[in-house]
Amino acid sequence: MRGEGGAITKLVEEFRRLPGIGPKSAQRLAFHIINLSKEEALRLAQAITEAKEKIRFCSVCCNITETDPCETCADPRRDHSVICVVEKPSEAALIEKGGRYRGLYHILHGSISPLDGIGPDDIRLRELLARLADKSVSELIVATNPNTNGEATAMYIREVTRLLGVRVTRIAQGVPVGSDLEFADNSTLAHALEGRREM
Amino acid sequence: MEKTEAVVLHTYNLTESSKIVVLLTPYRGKVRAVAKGVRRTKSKFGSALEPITHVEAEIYFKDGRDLQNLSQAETLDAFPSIRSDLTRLGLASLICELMEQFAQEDEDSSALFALLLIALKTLASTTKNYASLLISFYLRLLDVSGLLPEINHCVRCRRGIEGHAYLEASAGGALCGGCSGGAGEKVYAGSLKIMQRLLTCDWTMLDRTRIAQPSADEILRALNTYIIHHTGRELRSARFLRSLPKLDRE
Repeated sequence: MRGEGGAITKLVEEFRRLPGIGPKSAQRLAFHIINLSKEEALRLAQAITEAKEKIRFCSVCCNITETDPCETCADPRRDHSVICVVEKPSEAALIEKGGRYRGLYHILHGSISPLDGIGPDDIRLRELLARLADKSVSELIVATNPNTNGEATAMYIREVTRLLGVRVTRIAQGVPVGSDLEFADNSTLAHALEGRREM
Repeated sequence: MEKTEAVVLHTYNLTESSKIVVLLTPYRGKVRAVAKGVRRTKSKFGSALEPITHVEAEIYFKDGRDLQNLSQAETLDAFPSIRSDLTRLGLASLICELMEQFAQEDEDSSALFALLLIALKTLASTTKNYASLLISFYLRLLDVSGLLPEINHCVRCRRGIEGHAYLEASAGGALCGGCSGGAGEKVYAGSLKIMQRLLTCDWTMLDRTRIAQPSADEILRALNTYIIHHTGRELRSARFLRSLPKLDRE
Protein backbone atom coordinates (compact mmCIF):
# COMPACT_ATOMS: atom_id res chain seq x y z
CA MET A 1 0.00 0.00 0.00
CA ARG A 2 3.09 2.22 -0.06
CA GLY A 3 2.77 5.53 -1.83
CA GLU A 4 -0.98 5.40 -2.00
CA GLY A 5 -1.43 8.18 0.49
CA GLY A 6 -3.57 8.43 3.59
CA ALA A 7 -7.20 7.48 2.88
CA ILE A 8 -6.87 3.92 1.59
CA THR A 9 -4.05 3.02 3.99
CA LYS A 10 -6.19 4.30 6.85
CA LEU A 11 -9.16 2.22 5.67
CA VAL A 12 -7.02 -0.94 5.41
CA GLU A 13 -5.60 -0.29 8.88
CA GLU A 14 -9.11 0.11 10.33
CA PHE A 15 -10.26 -3.20 8.78
CA ARG A 16 -7.15 -4.92 10.11
CA ARG A 17 -8.23 -4.07 13.63
CA LEU A 18 -11.38 -6.17 13.23
CA PRO A 19 -11.36 -9.74 14.64
CA GLY A 20 -10.36 -12.44 12.17
CA ILE A 21 -9.22 -9.96 9.52
CA GLY A 22 -5.64 -10.29 8.29
CA PRO A 23 -3.76 -7.90 5.98
CA LYS A 24 -5.05 -9.51 2.77
CA SER A 25 -8.71 -9.56 3.82
CA ALA A 26 -8.36 -5.97 5.04
CA GLN A 27 -7.06 -4.92 1.65
CA ARG A 28 -9.83 -6.81 -0.16
CA LEU A 29 -12.52 -5.17 2.00
CA ALA A 30 -10.98 -1.72 1.53
CA PHE A 31 -11.00 -2.11 -2.25
CA HIS A 32 -14.56 -3.37 -2.11
CA ILE A 33 -15.56 -0.17 -0.29
CA ILE A 34 -13.70 1.95 -2.85
CA ASN A 35 -15.63 0.24 -5.65
CA LEU A 36 -19.02 0.88 -4.03
CA SER A 37 -21.14 3.80 -5.19
CA LYS A 38 -21.04 6.83 -2.92
CA GLU A 39 -24.60 6.09 -1.69
CA GLU A 40 -23.76 2.50 -0.79
CA ALA A 41 -20.62 3.54 1.07
CA LEU A 42 -22.48 6.24 2.99
CA ARG A 43 -25.23 3.77 3.90
CA LEU A 44 -22.61 1.50 5.45
CA ALA A 45 -20.98 4.41 7.30
CA GLN A 46 -24.39 5.53 8.55
CA ALA A 47 -25.29 2.02 9.72
CA ILE A 48 -22.08 1.89 11.76
CA THR A 49 -22.66 5.35 13.26
CA GLU A 50 -26.30 4.57 14.06
CA ALA A 51 -25.39 1.27 15.72
CA LYS A 52 -22.77 2.98 17.85
CA GLU A 53 -25.16 5.75 18.85
CA LYS A 54 -28.25 3.67 19.56
CA ILE A 55 -26.89 0.43 20.95
CA ARG A 56 -26.06 0.26 24.63
CA PHE A 57 -25.98 -2.34 27.39
CA CYS A 58 -29.18 -3.41 29.13
CA SER A 59 -28.95 -2.27 32.75
CA VAL A 60 -30.45 -5.62 33.86
CA CYS A 61 -28.88 -8.40 31.77
CA CYS A 62 -25.93 -6.49 30.20
CA ASN A 63 -26.99 -7.62 26.70
CA ILE A 64 -26.70 -5.19 23.82
CA THR A 65 -29.95 -3.35 23.23
CA GLU A 66 -31.56 -0.23 21.81
CA THR A 67 -34.00 0.08 24.73
CA ASP A 68 -33.27 -0.14 28.42
CA PRO A 69 -34.27 -2.60 29.81
CA CYS A 70 -33.97 -4.77 26.72
CA GLU A 71 -37.00 -6.40 25.09
CA THR A 72 -36.31 -9.75 26.77
CA CYS A 73 -35.98 -8.32 30.28
CA ALA A 74 -39.11 -6.17 29.80
CA ASP A 75 -41.25 -9.03 28.43
CA PRO A 76 -43.81 -10.10 31.13
CA ARG A 77 -44.51 -13.38 29.26
CA ARG A 78 -40.99 -14.67 29.95
CA ASP A 79 -40.08 -16.64 33.05
CA HIS A 80 -38.33 -14.07 35.27
CA SER A 81 -37.32 -16.68 37.83
CA VAL A 82 -34.75 -18.36 35.56
CA ILE A 83 -31.55 -16.72 34.31
CA CYS A 84 -29.26 -18.28 31.70
CA VAL A 85 -25.68 -17.01 32.09
CA VAL A 86 -23.61 -16.77 28.90
CA GLU A 87 -20.26 -15.24 27.99
CA LYS A 88 -21.23 -13.26 24.87
CA PRO A 89 -24.37 -11.60 23.41
CA SER A 90 -24.07 -13.84 20.34
CA GLU A 91 -24.51 -16.92 22.56
CA ALA A 92 -27.77 -15.56 24.01
CA ALA A 93 -28.95 -14.93 20.45
CA LEU A 94 -28.09 -18.53 19.55
CA ILE A 95 -30.05 -19.98 22.49
CA GLU A 96 -32.94 -17.68 21.59
CA LYS A 97 -32.83 -19.02 18.03
CA GLY A 98 -33.22 -22.54 19.43
CA GLY A 99 -36.71 -21.43 20.48
CA ARG A 100 -37.01 -23.63 23.61
CA TYR A 101 -35.82 -21.29 26.36
CA ARG A 102 -38.32 -18.85 27.89
CA GLY A 103 -36.33 -17.42 30.81
CA LEU A 104 -34.03 -14.39 30.99
CA TYR A 105 -30.32 -14.02 30.22
CA HIS A 106 -27.24 -12.56 31.81
CA ILE A 107 -24.26 -11.68 29.62
CA LEU A 108 -20.89 -11.77 31.37
CA HIS A 109 -18.92 -10.22 28.47
CA GLY A 110 -16.03 -12.61 28.99
CA SER A 111 -14.91 -15.43 31.20
CA ILE A 112 -12.48 -15.86 34.06
CA SER A 113 -9.05 -16.65 32.64
CA PRO A 114 -6.26 -17.11 35.20
CA LEU A 115 -3.60 -17.35 32.46
CA ASP A 116 -4.65 -14.01 31.00
CA GLY A 117 -5.06 -12.33 34.38
CA ILE A 118 -8.84 -11.95 33.90
CA GLY A 119 -10.46 -12.31 37.29
CA PRO A 120 -14.07 -12.16 38.54
CA ASP A 121 -13.96 -8.36 38.77
CA ASP A 122 -13.18 -8.02 35.07
CA ILE A 123 -16.48 -9.53 33.86
CA ARG A 124 -20.12 -8.64 34.64
CA LEU A 125 -20.45 -10.87 37.69
CA ARG A 126 -21.23 -8.12 40.17
CA GLU A 127 -24.31 -7.26 38.07
CA LEU A 128 -25.40 -10.91 38.17
CA LEU A 129 -25.12 -11.08 41.96
CA ALA A 130 -27.12 -7.85 42.24
CA ARG A 131 -29.95 -9.53 40.28
CA LEU A 132 -30.06 -12.36 42.81
CA ALA A 133 -30.41 -10.03 45.79
CA ASP A 134 -34.24 -9.79 45.80
CA LYS A 135 -34.62 -13.61 45.88
CA SER A 136 -37.02 -13.66 42.90
CA VAL A 137 -34.66 -15.87 40.89
CA SER A 138 -34.97 -19.58 41.59
CA GLU A 139 -32.55 -21.02 38.99
CA LEU A 140 -29.30 -19.95 37.33
CA ILE A 141 -28.39 -21.94 34.23
CA VAL A 142 -24.66 -21.54 33.71
CA ALA A 143 -24.07 -21.79 29.95
CA THR A 144 -20.45 -20.63 29.81
CA ASN A 145 -18.26 -22.47 27.28
CA PRO A 146 -17.17 -26.02 28.14
CA ASN A 147 -13.48 -25.07 28.18
CA THR A 148 -11.01 -24.26 30.98
CA ASN A 149 -12.07 -20.61 31.29
CA GLY A 150 -15.79 -21.33 30.99
CA GLU A 151 -15.54 -24.05 33.64
CA ALA A 152 -13.55 -21.73 35.95
CA THR A 153 -16.28 -19.11 35.56
CA ALA A 154 -19.00 -21.69 36.26
CA MET A 155 -17.14 -22.88 39.37
CA TYR A 156 -16.78 -19.33 40.61
CA ILE A 157 -20.50 -18.65 40.11
CA ARG A 158 -21.34 -21.84 42.01
CA GLU A 159 -19.07 -20.78 44.91
CA VAL A 160 -20.33 -17.23 45.27
CA THR A 161 -24.00 -18.20 45.02
CA ARG A 162 -23.73 -21.15 47.43
CA LEU A 163 -25.36 -19.30 50.29
CA LEU A 164 -28.01 -17.44 48.28
CA GLY A 165 -30.52 -20.27 48.07
CA VAL A 166 -30.64 -20.26 44.27
CA ARG A 167 -30.48 -23.49 42.28
CA VAL A 168 -27.39 -23.43 40.03
CA THR A 169 -27.36 -25.77 37.03
CA ARG A 170 -24.81 -26.33 34.26
CA ILE A 171 -25.72 -26.97 30.62
CA ALA A 172 -25.18 -30.59 29.53
CA GLN A 173 -21.92 -31.55 27.85
CA GLY A 174 -21.48 -34.38 25.42
CA VAL A 175 -21.80 -35.63 21.88
CA PRO A 176 -23.17 -33.06 19.39
CA VAL A 177 -26.45 -33.87 17.64
CA GLY A 178 -25.85 -35.35 14.19
CA SER A 179 -22.29 -36.51 14.94
CA ASP A 180 -20.92 -40.00 15.40
CA LEU A 181 -19.72 -41.58 18.67
CA GLU A 182 -16.77 -43.05 16.77
CA PHE A 183 -15.36 -39.57 16.22
CA ALA A 184 -15.94 -38.13 19.70
CA ASP A 185 -12.81 -37.55 21.78
CA ASN A 186 -12.21 -39.23 25.17
CA SER A 187 -12.99 -36.20 27.25
CA THR A 188 -16.29 -35.44 25.50
CA LEU A 189 -17.37 -39.07 25.80
CA ALA A 190 -16.50 -39.10 29.50
CA HIS A 191 -18.64 -35.97 30.04
CA ALA A 192 -21.47 -37.47 27.99
CA LEU A 193 -21.47 -40.59 30.17
CA GLU A 194 -21.28 -38.57 33.41
CA GLY A 195 -24.21 -36.43 32.30
CA ARG A 196 -26.42 -39.34 31.15
CA ARG A 197 -30.12 -39.17 32.06
CA GLU A 198 -33.00 -41.49 32.69
CA MET A 199 -35.16 -42.31 29.65
CA MET B 1 5.90 -35.19 11.28
CA GLU B 2 6.91 -35.79 14.90
CA LYS B 3 4.98 -37.45 17.66
CA THR B 4 5.83 -35.94 21.03
CA GLU B 5 4.63 -35.78 24.57
CA ALA B 6 3.69 -32.25 25.60
CA VAL B 7 1.85 -30.13 28.13
CA VAL B 8 -0.46 -27.39 26.84
CA LEU B 9 0.65 -24.19 28.57
CA HIS B 10 -1.57 -21.60 26.93
CA THR B 11 -3.88 -21.19 23.94
CA TYR B 12 -5.01 -18.20 21.90
CA ASN B 13 -7.89 -18.05 19.45
CA LEU B 14 -6.58 -17.45 15.95
CA THR B 15 -9.59 -17.62 13.67
CA GLU B 16 -13.18 -18.73 14.16
CA SER B 17 -12.07 -22.34 14.00
CA SER B 18 -8.33 -22.37 14.79
CA LYS B 19 -6.17 -21.86 17.84
CA ILE B 20 -2.54 -21.11 18.52
CA VAL B 21 -1.30 -23.58 21.12
CA VAL B 22 1.79 -23.05 23.28
CA LEU B 23 3.24 -26.39 24.34
CA LEU B 24 6.16 -27.52 26.46
CA THR B 25 7.84 -30.56 24.94
CA PRO B 26 10.76 -32.49 26.45
CA TYR B 27 13.13 -32.28 23.48
CA ARG B 28 11.95 -29.30 21.42
CA GLY B 29 11.36 -26.97 24.36
CA LYS B 30 8.57 -24.46 24.00
CA VAL B 31 6.61 -24.94 20.78
CA ARG B 32 4.03 -22.59 19.30
CA ALA B 33 1.75 -24.35 16.85
CA VAL B 34 -1.44 -23.73 14.91
CA ALA B 35 -4.23 -26.26 15.46
CA LYS B 36 -6.74 -25.91 12.68
CA GLY B 37 -10.43 -26.58 13.17
CA VAL B 38 -10.17 -27.32 16.90
CA ARG B 39 -12.65 -24.65 17.94
CA ARG B 40 -15.43 -26.38 16.02
CA THR B 41 -17.92 -28.39 18.08
CA LYS B 42 -17.20 -31.51 16.08
CA SER B 43 -13.40 -31.29 16.41
CA LYS B 44 -11.94 -34.69 17.23
CA PHE B 45 -9.17 -33.38 19.49
CA GLY B 46 -10.23 -29.89 20.56
CA SER B 47 -10.63 -30.94 24.18
CA ALA B 48 -7.03 -32.17 24.31
CA LEU B 49 -5.80 -28.68 23.53
CA GLU B 50 -7.09 -26.94 26.62
CA PRO B 51 -4.43 -25.35 28.87
CA ILE B 52 -3.02 -27.61 31.61
CA THR B 53 -3.45 -30.85 29.67
CA HIS B 54 -0.79 -33.54 29.23
CA VAL B 55 -1.04 -34.76 25.64
CA GLU B 56 0.62 -36.75 22.92
CA ALA B 57 0.76 -34.46 19.93
CA GLU B 58 1.65 -34.86 16.28
CA ILE B 59 3.45 -31.78 15.05
CA TYR B 60 4.78 -30.98 11.62
CA PHE B 61 8.04 -29.12 12.37
CA LYS B 62 9.72 -26.91 9.84
CA ASP B 63 12.95 -25.10 10.80
CA GLY B 64 12.85 -21.35 10.89
CA ARG B 65 9.09 -21.23 11.10
CA ASP B 66 7.67 -19.28 14.01
CA LEU B 67 4.43 -21.28 14.11
CA GLN B 68 4.47 -25.05 13.60
CA ASN B 69 1.47 -27.12 12.49
CA LEU B 70 -0.27 -29.41 14.97
CA SER B 71 -2.28 -32.10 13.25
CA GLN B 72 -3.34 -34.42 16.06
CA ALA B 73 -3.45 -34.57 19.85
CA GLU B 74 -4.56 -37.18 22.31
CA THR B 75 -5.15 -36.52 26.00
CA LEU B 76 -2.86 -38.41 28.38
CA ASP B 77 -4.03 -36.57 31.50
CA ALA B 78 -6.53 -33.68 31.67
CA PHE B 79 -6.01 -33.25 35.45
CA PRO B 80 -9.76 -33.19 36.25
CA SER B 81 -9.16 -32.54 39.95
CA ILE B 82 -7.25 -29.35 39.07
CA ARG B 83 -10.08 -28.16 36.83
CA SER B 84 -12.72 -28.74 39.46
CA ASP B 85 -11.16 -26.46 42.07
CA LEU B 86 -10.52 -22.73 41.56
CA THR B 87 -7.48 -22.51 43.85
CA ARG B 88 -5.81 -25.51 42.23
CA LEU B 89 -6.68 -24.14 38.79
CA GLY B 90 -5.12 -20.77 39.72
CA LEU B 91 -1.96 -22.50 41.00
CA ALA B 92 -1.70 -24.73 37.92
CA SER B 93 -2.11 -21.64 35.73
CA LEU B 94 0.71 -19.95 37.64
CA ILE B 95 2.94 -23.02 37.14
CA CYS B 96 2.18 -23.09 33.38
CA GLU B 97 2.69 -19.32 33.05
CA LEU B 98 6.12 -19.58 34.71
CA MET B 99 7.04 -22.47 32.39
CA GLU B 100 6.03 -20.39 29.38
CA GLN B 101 8.30 -17.61 30.60
CA PHE B 102 11.29 -19.79 31.46
CA ALA B 103 11.26 -22.36 28.63
CA GLN B 104 13.09 -21.58 25.41
CA GLU B 105 12.22 -22.70 21.90
CA ASP B 106 14.28 -25.32 20.08
CA GLU B 107 16.25 -26.67 23.00
CA ASP B 108 16.26 -29.76 25.16
CA SER B 109 13.89 -29.07 28.04
CA SER B 110 13.57 -32.53 29.52
CA ALA B 111 14.37 -31.30 33.05
CA LEU B 112 11.77 -28.52 32.82
CA PHE B 113 9.23 -30.91 31.33
CA ALA B 114 9.76 -33.45 34.12
CA LEU B 115 9.44 -30.66 36.71
CA LEU B 116 6.21 -29.39 35.15
CA LEU B 117 4.67 -32.83 35.02
CA ILE B 118 5.50 -33.78 38.60
CA ALA B 119 4.33 -30.38 39.88
CA LEU B 120 0.96 -30.77 38.11
CA LYS B 121 0.54 -34.39 39.21
CA THR B 122 1.36 -33.45 42.82
CA LEU B 123 -1.04 -30.51 42.69
CA ALA B 124 -3.77 -32.76 41.27
CA SER B 125 -3.53 -35.03 44.29
CA THR B 126 -2.99 -32.32 46.93
CA THR B 127 -5.82 -30.90 48.98
CA LYS B 128 -3.89 -28.74 51.42
CA ASN B 129 -0.60 -26.92 52.09
CA TYR B 130 -0.50 -25.42 48.63
CA ALA B 131 2.12 -22.86 49.70
CA SER B 132 4.72 -25.61 50.26
CA LEU B 133 4.10 -26.96 46.77
CA LEU B 134 4.33 -23.55 45.15
CA ILE B 135 7.53 -22.56 46.99
CA SER B 136 9.10 -25.91 46.16
CA PHE B 137 8.15 -25.46 42.49
CA TYR B 138 9.57 -21.90 42.36
CA LEU B 139 12.89 -23.02 43.84
CA ARG B 140 13.25 -26.09 41.61
CA LEU B 141 12.34 -24.03 38.54
CA LEU B 142 15.05 -21.50 39.41
CA ASP B 143 17.46 -24.38 40.07
CA VAL B 144 16.81 -26.09 36.70
CA SER B 145 17.15 -22.71 34.96
CA GLY B 146 20.49 -21.98 36.67
CA LEU B 147 19.06 -19.03 38.61
CA LEU B 148 18.72 -20.54 42.07
CA PRO B 149 19.42 -17.85 44.69
CA GLU B 150 22.11 -18.53 47.29
CA ILE B 151 20.09 -19.23 50.44
CA ASN B 152 22.62 -21.03 52.63
CA HIS B 153 24.70 -18.00 53.61
CA CYS B 154 25.23 -14.33 52.74
CA VAL B 155 26.12 -14.18 49.06
CA ARG B 156 28.57 -11.29 49.70
CA CYS B 157 30.43 -11.94 52.99
CA ARG B 158 29.79 -15.75 52.94
CA ARG B 159 28.87 -15.71 56.63
CA GLY B 160 25.92 -17.65 58.00
CA ILE B 161 22.65 -15.74 58.37
CA GLU B 162 21.14 -15.02 61.74
CA GLY B 163 18.00 -13.05 62.48
CA HIS B 164 16.93 -11.93 59.06
CA ALA B 165 18.32 -11.57 55.56
CA TYR B 166 17.40 -9.76 52.35
CA LEU B 167 16.79 -11.72 49.15
CA GLU B 168 18.28 -9.57 46.42
CA ALA B 169 17.96 -10.72 42.80
CA SER B 170 20.78 -8.57 41.42
CA ALA B 171 23.17 -10.02 44.04
CA GLY B 172 22.02 -13.57 43.24
CA GLY B 173 20.75 -14.54 46.67
CA ALA B 174 20.39 -13.66 50.34
CA LEU B 175 22.36 -10.81 51.87
CA CYS B 176 22.91 -10.44 55.60
CA GLY B 177 21.75 -7.24 57.33
CA GLY B 178 25.29 -5.79 57.25
CA CYS B 179 25.80 -6.37 53.51
CA SER B 180 22.36 -5.51 52.16
CA GLY B 181 22.17 -1.79 52.89
CA GLY B 182 18.37 -2.25 53.05
CA ALA B 183 17.99 -3.53 49.45
CA GLY B 184 16.02 -6.69 48.67
CA GLU B 185 13.05 -8.51 50.18
CA LYS B 186 13.29 -9.13 53.91
CA VAL B 187 13.14 -12.80 54.94
CA TYR B 188 13.80 -14.36 58.29
CA ALA B 189 16.60 -16.89 58.69
CA GLY B 190 13.90 -19.44 59.57
CA SER B 191 12.26 -18.84 56.19
CA LEU B 192 15.58 -19.50 54.43
CA LYS B 193 15.79 -22.83 56.28
CA ILE B 194 12.26 -23.69 55.08
CA MET B 195 13.34 -22.85 51.52
CA GLN B 196 16.40 -25.10 51.79
CA ARG B 197 14.18 -27.95 52.94
CA LEU B 198 11.53 -27.42 50.24
CA LEU B 199 14.15 -27.36 47.49
CA THR B 200 15.20 -30.92 48.13
CA CYS B 201 12.35 -32.66 49.91
CA ASP B 202 10.37 -35.42 48.26
CA TRP B 203 7.30 -34.28 46.30
CA THR B 204 5.14 -36.73 48.22
CA MET B 205 6.03 -34.92 51.48
CA LEU B 206 4.74 -31.52 50.35
CA ASP B 207 1.10 -31.89 51.33
CA ARG B 208 2.28 -32.88 54.80
CA THR B 209 4.56 -29.83 55.10
CA ARG B 210 2.59 -27.02 56.65
CA ILE B 211 4.21 -23.60 56.73
CA ALA B 212 2.92 -20.85 59.00
CA GLN B 213 1.01 -18.28 56.91
CA PRO B 214 3.34 -15.30 57.69
CA SER B 215 6.42 -17.33 56.61
CA ALA B 216 4.67 -18.59 53.46
CA ASP B 217 3.60 -15.04 52.54
CA GLU B 218 7.11 -13.71 53.18
CA ILE B 219 8.82 -16.41 51.09
CA LEU B 220 6.35 -16.17 48.20
CA ARG B 221 6.64 -12.37 48.11
CA ALA B 222 10.46 -12.59 48.04
CA LEU B 223 10.47 -15.32 45.35
CA ASN B 224 7.90 -13.46 43.22
CA THR B 225 10.10 -10.33 43.26
CA TYR B 226 13.15 -12.48 42.48
CA ILE B 227 11.44 -14.11 39.49
CA ILE B 228 9.99 -10.85 38.15
CA HIS B 229 13.54 -9.39 38.26
CA HIS B 230 14.66 -12.17 35.90
CA THR B 231 11.63 -12.34 33.60
CA GLY B 232 10.72 -8.66 33.63
CA ARG B 233 7.02 -9.57 33.66
CA GLU B 234 4.29 -9.54 36.28
CA LEU B 235 2.61 -12.90 36.78
CA ARG B 236 -0.99 -12.66 35.56
CA SER B 237 -2.11 -15.84 37.30
CA ALA B 238 -0.80 -14.50 40.64
CA ARG B 239 -3.17 -11.58 40.16
CA PHE B 240 -6.02 -14.04 39.64
CA LEU B 241 -5.09 -16.01 42.77
CA ARG B 242 -5.15 -12.80 44.80
CA SER B 243 -8.60 -11.95 43.41
CA LEU B 244 -10.17 -15.15 44.75
CA PRO B 245 -12.22 -14.52 47.86
CA LYS B 246 -11.79 -16.81 50.84
CA LEU B 247 -13.04 -19.83 48.93
CA ASP B 248 -10.96 -22.81 49.85
CA ARG B 249 -7.53 -21.31 50.10
CA GLU B 250 -5.29 -23.24 52.43
